[in-house]
Amino acid sequence: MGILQVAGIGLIAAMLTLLLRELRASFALPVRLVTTLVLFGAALGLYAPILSRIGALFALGEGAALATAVLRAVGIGLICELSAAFCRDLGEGAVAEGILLFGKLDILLLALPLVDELIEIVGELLK
Amino acid sequence: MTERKKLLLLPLLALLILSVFWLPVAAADGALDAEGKEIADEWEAFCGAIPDEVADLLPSDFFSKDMTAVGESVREAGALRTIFRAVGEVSGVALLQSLSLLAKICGILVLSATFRTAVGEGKGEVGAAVSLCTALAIVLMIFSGEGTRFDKIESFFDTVRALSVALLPLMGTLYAMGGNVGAAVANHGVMSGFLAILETLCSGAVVPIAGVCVALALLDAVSGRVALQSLAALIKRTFTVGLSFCMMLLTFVLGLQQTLAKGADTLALRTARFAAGSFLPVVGGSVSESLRTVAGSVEYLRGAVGMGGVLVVFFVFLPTFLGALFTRLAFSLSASAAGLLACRREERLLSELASVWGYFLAVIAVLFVMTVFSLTLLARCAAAV
Repeated sequence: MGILQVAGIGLIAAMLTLLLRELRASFALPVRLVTTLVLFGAALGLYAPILSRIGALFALGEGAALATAVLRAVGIGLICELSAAFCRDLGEGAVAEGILLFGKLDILLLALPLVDELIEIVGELLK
Repeated sequence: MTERKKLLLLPLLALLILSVFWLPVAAADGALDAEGKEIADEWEAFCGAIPDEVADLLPSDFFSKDMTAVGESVREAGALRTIFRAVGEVSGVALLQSLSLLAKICGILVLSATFRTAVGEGKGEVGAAVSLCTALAIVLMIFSGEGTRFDKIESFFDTVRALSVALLPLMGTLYAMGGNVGAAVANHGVMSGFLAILETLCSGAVVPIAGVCVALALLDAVSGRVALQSLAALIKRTFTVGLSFCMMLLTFVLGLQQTLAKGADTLALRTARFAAGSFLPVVGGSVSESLRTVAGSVEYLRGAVGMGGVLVVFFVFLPTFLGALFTRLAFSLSASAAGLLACRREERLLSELASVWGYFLAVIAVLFVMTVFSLTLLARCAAAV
């Protein structure tokens, strides 16, 4: 999907939402949700080759396991931020905060083995 | 004393002087070979302490027991072309390793920056958590190789210590052969002090202090709120200044004592030579001449061993020094890249790692100067006879 298509989808969705808000407010929400998901999917389509290339570079440098952890953390972060932004648009600030908290803790959970490994290394250095 | 008694005493005195100066007389007959055999065992022990990767850079005759061949090989190894070839080979390997490290770090930085670009800078705590994750990944990726890098630095100190231990008897023998007994004692004393410093300050403290600094940098990078960089910088600076001061003191004492001892030895032996030449009309003259021959061969040996030692020390220091230099460059470049990509946490960590490698460079340079200085003194010290 090119930038023209993405921009077109975005503009059409924005106008449609504006119209639906006047005519049928309950239809506006699904339109926004579908548009966001489509745009997010398009963005992921662009990220995929970049991430696979970075993953291959990490594998060359014997850091494939670390690359997986970082890529997952980035993915979690992106999903959380987008979902939270969507919730905020709907006026659900508390839900957005809940998602962000979950995402943050999930990333920290993901980082825990790395922290353990790091503490081990620091212990060896200080011996 | 009657004429007959004088005639009896003269051969006895001549025998006594010849036994004292047995070495010069032997050298007068066999020139360089006799002196070369005297130091063959010490030279062999010194060659045994040379690491294999350094031995590959030296000509095969360097390990010969024939000191004339050793002298020729030292000249060959000291040629500009040989030195540049070795520097090229070693820097190629070190550069390749550092480029690999740089590429890996830049990969993680790009990932971190990608996230920042996607969600916006400083947007909530999820960004901070991802930044923490990438910082941890960077540290682990660096330290998966850093352990071996630190081990290399430790093994380098062991090599320098082994070389210095092997050089000690060799230098002592060469000083004593040339009649510089006082210089031998002074050199032995100072080099023993150097070895003690190498043992306690370098082998025992350099890597643990670097470990403490890295641990502080990690805390600083992970927390993002505690400024520990200045504390780490203070520790490194204090240690480097202390070590430099110790080495400066040793260099000063070595230079001073060698010069004084050399003068005293020369005075004592010239007096003996004068006495031999004056009181023993025929034998005394030949003793005096043979002493000159010995002085020439001993100075040749000192030059060969001294310059050979400097070359070995240079080849031992070169890979470690270039490795540390390129690693520091890789970290500095990565820190700049992190700054450009607005990864502040990673930038702080990488800058601190670059500074730790700068501290290693300082320690390596201080040790190199001290070792080369002691060897140059040996090579340049004229025989007292």
